[in-house]
Amino acid sequence: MPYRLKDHHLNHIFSIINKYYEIYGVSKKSKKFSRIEIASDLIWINGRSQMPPKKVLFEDQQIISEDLNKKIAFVGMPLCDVSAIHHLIYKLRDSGLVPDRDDLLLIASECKPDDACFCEFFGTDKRSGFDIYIQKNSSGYDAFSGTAAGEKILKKLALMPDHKLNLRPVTHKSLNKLSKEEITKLIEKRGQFDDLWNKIANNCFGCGACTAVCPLCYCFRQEEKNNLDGSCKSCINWDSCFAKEFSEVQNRADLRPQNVDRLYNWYHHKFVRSPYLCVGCGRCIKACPANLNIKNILLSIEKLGEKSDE
Amino acid sequence: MNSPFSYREYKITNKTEVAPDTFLFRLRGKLKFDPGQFVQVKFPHIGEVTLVPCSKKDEKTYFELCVRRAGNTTEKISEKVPGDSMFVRGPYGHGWPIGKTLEKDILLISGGIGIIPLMPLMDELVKYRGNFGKIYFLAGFKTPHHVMFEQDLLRYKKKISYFKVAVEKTDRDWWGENCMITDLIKNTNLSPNINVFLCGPEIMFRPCVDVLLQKKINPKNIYVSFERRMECGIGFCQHCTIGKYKVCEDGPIFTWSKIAPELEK
Repeated sequence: MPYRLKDHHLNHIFSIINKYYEIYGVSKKSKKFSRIEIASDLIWINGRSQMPPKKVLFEDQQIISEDLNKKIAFVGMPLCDVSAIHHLIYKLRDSGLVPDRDDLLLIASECKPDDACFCEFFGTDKRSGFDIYIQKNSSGYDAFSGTAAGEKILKKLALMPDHKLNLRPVTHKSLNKLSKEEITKLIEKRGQFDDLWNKIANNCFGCGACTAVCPLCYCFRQEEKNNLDGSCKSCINWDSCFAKEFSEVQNRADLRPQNVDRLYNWYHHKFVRSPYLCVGCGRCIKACPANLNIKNILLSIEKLGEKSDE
Repeated sequence: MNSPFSYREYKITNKTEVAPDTFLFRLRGKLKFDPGQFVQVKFPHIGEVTLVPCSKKDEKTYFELCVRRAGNTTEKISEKVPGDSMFVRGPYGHGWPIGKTLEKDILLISGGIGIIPLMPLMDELVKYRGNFGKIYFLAGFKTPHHVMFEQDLLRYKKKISYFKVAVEKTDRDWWGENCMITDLIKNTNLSPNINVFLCGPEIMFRPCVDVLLQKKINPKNIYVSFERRMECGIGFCQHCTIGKYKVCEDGPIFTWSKIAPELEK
């Protein structure tokens, strides 16, 4: 149900959830995605961060088979991240490596799309999946509950619901729509677009920055962590499919020897093998040192597909 | 929730060197598996490897795992001795599709260490021989020293209608052939609707399949067991992918018609 909030209500929400959850969001001080301890340090609206929520959900160096009894609240993130969290915990369900949805609280906020993001491609601007959604209005904030858990928190503010309030749609700079099925089909036919893949790979440094910041890149390795006292624990290590050793088998035989193979594998994983592991948050575009732009690449793949149809 | 990363501890009771750098570990306890499935074995402080059980399926008191020294982890594992423990989870993947081959001729082709997943299968086939057509067995090794499970093979030789073992090079008296595995296949008369089970190093798949296809065998009936360096073994980590398939979850056994287009990606 929709409620009209004032500034102090946000602080009230913070103190309510602080009792049950570890709160993560973008810090006003450091402008970074981190654990938030004080309400005044939190950015409530348009909390965009370079590091994705997987940093907390699916931690690097996390110890395998250790009970996850953390309850985590993500506050202020845009809707693409909400969508990414849902995808990630669905993909890794039953692995025991990510928390259940019930242990998460997702407080999403209105976002201002920038040049890099393109959630409209995949329809992840859909306003759903959140527990609470907050948008700014002229005199304060509008809060909408999306789930029973969200409603329970808003009820504690003891406000009257205001049914006249509406969720504002996200305003995009341009409205490109992609057909997901079409992209899957085109990426599957690697041989037909060899020139394109080679061209992209020639510009790519293969540094793997995109995989580190992607909220939906979850490839990992399993490693033994040896401690000084002689004990050891298995833990997961984030891995990048751009790493040379990623597809290595015995006797150092590499199954994806060239950068173009690894780059293609990244796109193949995202759009063919387990579609769709992209929500259009644009983090990889900002992180890429070679200025490769997945948005333009997808558009040009689609264009090439149209050409080859003619 | 039960973590899928939970291991059972098994004690090593016996260790033998079956070929150069290749060790067979016998472990006390029962492991329920289908021929062709694999297990993930963890050694604390060292790491985890993917191994395939090679003992009989219905053995109640022990099972056997074979390790070849090929990298850092297997190097350390080969130093293990009876009394040490292995931590096993699994089995994972789908085994050889024996049910689909009832009443039909079966050809087993193995190259080198690829014989391991075929040993429990062989045992099943011999035991229930009446349910299958003719059984052919072809195996290739580098030298007679590399021939694994020689005693078992000699025993099966008497029970199977067509049985050939070849080595590439030999410096001693050798009871089998002296040629490449592809020559063995070429020289065998095969009916086109035979089912083929193939396992070995990946480099031998294409030449072998080419010969089989020349013999008009349907690629849908050629089953190939793939090997990848797995990390999780249960479909999460993405290290063992071939195109859109994951070897751990969808395999490790694929029909050639299904996997061949993906190998090019």
